[in-house]
Amino acid sequence: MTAIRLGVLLVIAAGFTLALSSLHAIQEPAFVSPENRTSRPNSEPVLEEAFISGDLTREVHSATAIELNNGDIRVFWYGGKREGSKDTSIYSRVLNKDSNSWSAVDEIMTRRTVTLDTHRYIRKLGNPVALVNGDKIWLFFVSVSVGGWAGSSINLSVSDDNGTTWGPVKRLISSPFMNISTLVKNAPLLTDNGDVILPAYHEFLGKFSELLQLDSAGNVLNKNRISHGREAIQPTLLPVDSTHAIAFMRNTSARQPGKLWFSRNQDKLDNWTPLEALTLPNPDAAVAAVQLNTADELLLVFNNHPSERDDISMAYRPGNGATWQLIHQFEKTISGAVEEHNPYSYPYLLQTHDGNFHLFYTWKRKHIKHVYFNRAALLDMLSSAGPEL
Amino acid sequence: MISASPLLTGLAMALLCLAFATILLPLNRLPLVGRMLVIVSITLLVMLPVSDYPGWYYVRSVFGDSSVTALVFYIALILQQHFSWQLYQENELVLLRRLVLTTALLLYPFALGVTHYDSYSQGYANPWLLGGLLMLTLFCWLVKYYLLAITITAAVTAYSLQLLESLNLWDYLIDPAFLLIMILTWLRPSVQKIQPRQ
Repeated sequence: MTAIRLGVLLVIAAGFTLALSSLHAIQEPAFVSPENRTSRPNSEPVLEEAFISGDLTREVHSATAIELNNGDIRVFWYGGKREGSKDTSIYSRVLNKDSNSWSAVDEIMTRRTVTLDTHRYIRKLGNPVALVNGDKIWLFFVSVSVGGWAGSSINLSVSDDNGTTWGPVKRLISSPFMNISTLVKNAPLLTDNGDVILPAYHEFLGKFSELLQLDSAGNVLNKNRISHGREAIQPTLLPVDSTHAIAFMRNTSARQPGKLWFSRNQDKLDNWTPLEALTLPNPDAAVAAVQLNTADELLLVFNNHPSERDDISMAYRPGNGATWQLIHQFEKTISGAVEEHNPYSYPYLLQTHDGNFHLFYTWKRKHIKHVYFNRAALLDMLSSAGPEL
Repeated sequence: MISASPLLTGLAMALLCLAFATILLPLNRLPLVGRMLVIVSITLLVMLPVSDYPGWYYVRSVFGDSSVTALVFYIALILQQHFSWQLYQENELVLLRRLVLTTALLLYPFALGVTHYDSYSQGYANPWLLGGLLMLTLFCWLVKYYLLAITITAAVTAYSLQLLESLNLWDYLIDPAFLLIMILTWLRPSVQKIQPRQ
């Protein structure tokens, strides 16, 4: 045996021994169960609405919100001259719980910041989603270097001062194909070991939904596919118990359009039921959902039309297997009025710890609209519920 | 770490550009000094700022990070083509090309959502994938394809040390730019052959 032959064998042995010894089994995540939210007793019904995105940018889109540990609400969205223009940034502001007043609009993430931090040229920014993770805020958002949204990648920045300042932007690696075509829209979930489950979707050759499992440092540990093909994106993920979750998805299907997609995992996160078309319509649009008193009692905000986003409505489901009821309509274009195409979209529904609700959505691309309603208002809506869906 | 060091990441992007130049430009018609000038020029162009940012930011934003396998290959390709250092044997190069093409066919369509099966997710902490790579590496060693064995071992070692941003082993083994370069070497067989020493 020559020295080279022996040397190469030793290098192989050392390299693979190191690799095998550094392998760690990926833990099956267990969701943190949703808390029971309690409403303030004897409160009067309140439903308030306002445009909250200011006038810094001509167009705004894709709002998301979190309840900070002090009870304030921080909302994020992106804006610019138009969707996908080079001046897009992520903006944010805070609703003070005590004074019920909004802070000034802050530009918290620019494409220059993301370019410098990720060492990649960034052409535009997009959909943000946020998570309160202990005493930190994790902000995920989309960026594009080349092409349209199909060229998106996901980034993560962490704040340890409630969003006043943000740490370096980290690029999540989630695809082997130039790491493109992974986007976010809806809220991540925490697991009991500190991992984060981030609902994501692809929008390149395939249009499908998946879950990214991240460790506490924001590294992608694993991914699990919910759907495949070109059928379903933007999963809204809700935990049912520690090991089970349900997902509502935007219908992008050419074969079976017009209905909201649904799936649930059967045992592990890599085993999801085939897509099921619900009775709820879906005009290829994002939806938002929260759980009420039980994991199966749901509120869902959606466009109540199979092909147009010309309303923002809310449906209620009292339990698993029960029918959906239309309980409120926040927006509706006037019949016959000349309106721009798809005026209302990208709802995000947040339930705060006091049991009340904050809804955000894109209003004609010009504003982010905020609707606050309390439990008493919800009870009013339920008592005058509309038709079954 | 490559991903944590902008200089190393930039140099990796420069290697990628040099590999493309080596294959696409008729550099072997130039004398050694001319080739050196081209190599230095391309490296400077990639490393120095273009408008606001270093040139490699733009390269990286298009191609993503190079896999470790690709980086070893690019170094060998440049040394082989420009300095007549025969590192890969011709048969070894043929095997590498077949492996890259086969892996790409098995990886990319499924990763992009053709079926419910996600081949990319098999790259996370998967002892079976590592075991398969060990078998392949030992085969290369048995048939005396030493550089190929070292190339795979380098990728596996870099993976265990998390030298790239990804924790997925596939990202250390293959990337689309590498696939493109392997296809180009296939289409231009003269690239495989050792150039006569100037």
